[in-house]
Amino acid sequence: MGEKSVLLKTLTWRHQPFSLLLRWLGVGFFALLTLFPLIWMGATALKSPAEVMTRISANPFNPQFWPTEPWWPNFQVVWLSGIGRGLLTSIFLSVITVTGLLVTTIPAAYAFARLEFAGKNWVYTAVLTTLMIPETVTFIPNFLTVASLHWVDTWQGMTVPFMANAFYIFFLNQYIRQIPQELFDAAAIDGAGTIRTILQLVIPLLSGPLATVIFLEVLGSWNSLLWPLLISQSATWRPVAIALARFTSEEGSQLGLRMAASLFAILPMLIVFLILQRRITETLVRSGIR
Amino acid sequence: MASSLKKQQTKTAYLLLLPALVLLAVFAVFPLFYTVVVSLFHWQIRPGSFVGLEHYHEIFGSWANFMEIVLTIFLVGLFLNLAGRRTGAFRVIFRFLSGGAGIVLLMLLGQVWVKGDAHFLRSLEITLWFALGTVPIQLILGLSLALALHARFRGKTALRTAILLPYILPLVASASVFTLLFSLSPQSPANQVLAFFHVGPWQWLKQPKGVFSADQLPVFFSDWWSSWAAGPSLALLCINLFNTWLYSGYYALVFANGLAAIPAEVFEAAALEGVSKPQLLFRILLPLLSPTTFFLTILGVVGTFKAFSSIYVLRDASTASAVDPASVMIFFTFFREVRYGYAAALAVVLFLIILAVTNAQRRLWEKRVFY
Repeated sequence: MGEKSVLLKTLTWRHQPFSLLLRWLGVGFFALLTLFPLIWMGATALKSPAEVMTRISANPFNPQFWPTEPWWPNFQVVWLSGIGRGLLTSIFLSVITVTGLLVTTIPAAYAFARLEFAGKNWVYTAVLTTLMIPETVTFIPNFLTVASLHWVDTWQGMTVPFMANAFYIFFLNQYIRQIPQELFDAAAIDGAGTIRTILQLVIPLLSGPLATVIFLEVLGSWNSLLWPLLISQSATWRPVAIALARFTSEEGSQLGLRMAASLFAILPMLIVFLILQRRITETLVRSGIR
Repeated sequence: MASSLKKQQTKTAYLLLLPALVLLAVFAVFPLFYTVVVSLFHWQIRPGSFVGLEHYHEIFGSWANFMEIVLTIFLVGLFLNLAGRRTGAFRVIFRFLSGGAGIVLLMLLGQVWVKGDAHFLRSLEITLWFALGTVPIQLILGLSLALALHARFRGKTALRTAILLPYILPLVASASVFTLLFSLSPQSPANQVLAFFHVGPWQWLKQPKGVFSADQLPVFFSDWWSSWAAGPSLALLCINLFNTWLYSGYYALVFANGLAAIPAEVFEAAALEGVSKPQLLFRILLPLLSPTTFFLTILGVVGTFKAFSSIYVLRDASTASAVDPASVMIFFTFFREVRYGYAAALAVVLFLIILAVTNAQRRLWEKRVFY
């Protein structure tokens, strides 16, 4: 009887109302702190230049924190000042990089996961070793390589070096291994070749991991600064990260404009994340990229 | 039969691997060797004369210094290794010896400070402050959040998404918010919070002075020691805060996954035995989570060495010597000073340091991780 009540207590232990309330308050407080910069960004982006100087508060519960009325011209100015172009450039470059990345990575991951071939372990180790090499070590020779190909200030220079990534090969390899052998046997009996097996069997089954790869790669290319600073020296292929950094230094005092520009840079990623959220949160954990 | 199948698969496999292998060879493996080559030349935009190891000489100040540093690092490792294998009195002796070698190493680094590239050493010091100011806090915050979220309740998904948001948003944009939150203007939100407590306004991101810096230090403090004693600058602490904000949610997500992998029986058995909550955490959960903690620590420390964007966006020319870690310092040696050869030599030294740190961490944890 005693044991049973203890067991019952265990099972309900995690659901005590008081402890739950504490959890909610604790995490909720932290979540608010986390969201504060984003809320402040939104509120400031909607303030007119005059309001930025007069309505000042760091407390979201104070009406002074918010604009009296949304001021939309900020977004218009920002869009026309190079941020809009930067956004379109970033989207274009992301699409090219991700396409190239998938074309090289999926077949490679498939080969490592499903084929037995001479030198497999050796090649796999060599590929994984490239993960140890940080960008600080590779950027100088890579810049020299790209310069000798006359790829400085071109979309090729911005995308081709990122079209292969050992991490994603390793990552997809784990998932392709988990696909039951029977499915591959069935595909072979149907007379499917390697390419058709990849296109019609592997890719549809890997929608979650592939969504994660795409999301991480797009995020990575949006966060990347070192390489674009070197390669996109003129305005032609300037991604949004650089456009935003330049805009920030030029429009230093115009807080409303700066926050509107940041909001523009954030929105596409936010939309993509909210759409893909259910698919990627689980696999994102395993990815281990920062 | 089997071998002909393997032969055929070998051909297919290499055809499938070809694009990835070519790109990795050109943009990941070849650069590793080419950096070493570039570091041996006087190279400014165009390759110049061969200078051998002169750049390394410049980094370490003198050859004697360089050799001594390599030797003492070797000795520290050797003694630690021996201490690990012996027991009793020998272990104590070897520990003492490794400690002594460690002190000698610190003094030698002080020499480099005087004669070698002070900029580079300073950037390494900043990297260390950066790692110490972010990784432990992220681990503790991440674990606390994961523990708090380890239950079923309404609104959990929304909270989880909220704390993950900084990780999945472009950091250039969020950084531009942080430059305003922590700007030196008396009206910046950070200074308004200070004003509420009748303090400030502070310079925040524009404050290069160490937080413990004093005007008068005892005479026996050399420049090297006083620079350490002053601690990280307020500007660097703001950058640490930004990085903690960026990654804590991700750490929480990884810890939550580790917690979910612990069988429910463990919790039930613990409750049956009447284990208190602190005991549950320190005696049961932490050992079971040690692989996750290990993974996140390595990721975090290597991440601080690699970090570029998250510092570049918050740095300011006026605070450069107080916030630029090695990665940013090397970039500017290349980009602004156009010293390709020297930047390459710095990159090689940094790479060796990263390898050493990763390896040391692995060994340190090996005995404590329960897989």
